[in-house]
Amino acid sequence: MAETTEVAGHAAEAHGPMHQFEIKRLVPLEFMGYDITFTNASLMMILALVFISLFLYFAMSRRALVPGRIQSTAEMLYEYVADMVRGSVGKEGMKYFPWIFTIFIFILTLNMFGMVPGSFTVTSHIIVTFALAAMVWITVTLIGFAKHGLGYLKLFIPSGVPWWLMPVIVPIEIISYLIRPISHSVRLFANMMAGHTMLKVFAGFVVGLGSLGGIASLGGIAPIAFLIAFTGLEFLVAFLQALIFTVLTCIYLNDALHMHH
Amino acid sequence: MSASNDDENPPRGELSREEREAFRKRASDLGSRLDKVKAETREKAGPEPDERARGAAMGQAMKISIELVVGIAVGGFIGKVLDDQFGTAPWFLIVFLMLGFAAGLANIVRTARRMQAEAEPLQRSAKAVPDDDDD
Repeated sequence: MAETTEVAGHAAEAHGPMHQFEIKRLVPLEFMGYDITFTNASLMMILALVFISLFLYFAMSRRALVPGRIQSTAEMLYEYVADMVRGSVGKEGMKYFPWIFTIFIFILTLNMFGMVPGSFTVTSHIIVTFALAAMVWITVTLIGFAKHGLGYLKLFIPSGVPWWLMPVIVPIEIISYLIRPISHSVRLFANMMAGHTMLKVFAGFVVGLGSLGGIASLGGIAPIAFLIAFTGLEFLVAFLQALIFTVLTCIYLNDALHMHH
Repeated sequence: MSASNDDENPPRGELSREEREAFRKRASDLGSRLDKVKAETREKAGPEPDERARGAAMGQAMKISIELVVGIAVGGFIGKVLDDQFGTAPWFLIVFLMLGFAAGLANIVRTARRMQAEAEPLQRSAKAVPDDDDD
């Protein structure tokens, strides 16, 4: 009896709910003193890139007038993102469509790959989502300055504010601009990590209750039912978070292009 | 091909009159059955828009709530760094916590305003639906 608990404890240690987020070094590499080891995260990203390229290539290679199943999926994706860009940025936003489409499909594919059992969810690491959000933030800021010059700084001075409130309002506006990439990245990372941890915790309940033996094993049914429902919800979250990340990118881009405050 | 030929032995691949009649009847049958099924599913799908609206609202709530947390965290971080730099603890921390809180709120208000602007046309069109309450 004591032995089984010890084994179970050991198994829980090796495959705890956070085990799935572990970075594994696959090919140790070094470049000019920097550690650029090829990890399982790099592998998943490359797999996602290969998948996206192959999918879009084969979907559009026939270019049929009446689209087949794969082709209409690709066309739907295009229409979906194009509508989003036209809706929230306007016509001139279509200049940046390739960039936004890339962000959307990359995050969506990584999120969906993360739903494959035993795989690795790259977007559950804050450094990855922060790199993406920082890229968006820097690009949008550069676009803003390129378009409006120093006038872009007027973003921090809302119109219709009395002058004596300026010392308070301007720092607030600056901070609210600075926290954009952080809230942008934390939102995606936190949702992905929390969801996947919950899945693992409840899967642990199934094993724990199921191994009680006898009639008590039936107690494992409840967490299984919950797991099934929650997996469906996680697919929704995976899609929704990719969408939210992209929508916010569009909104920030719109702010930089049009600046109506 | 003459018209008299039409009744008796139609050439291969064409329909006789009866077949055409039967086909028309079947098509209209199918049409009415389809209408019925569509109406039924529409009835059954009654609560669905509500569910979808709730999902969208949950998404918006998640989108907003994180803004406040991050605002306070970043404000606190900036204040802490400045305090360590100048040895003025805890003044910068206090000031920047409040500024961060305000910045988070400013972002929330901005997002909420945008959501309201998006929802307004929907609400206006919703008003046009006749009131069928029995009061």
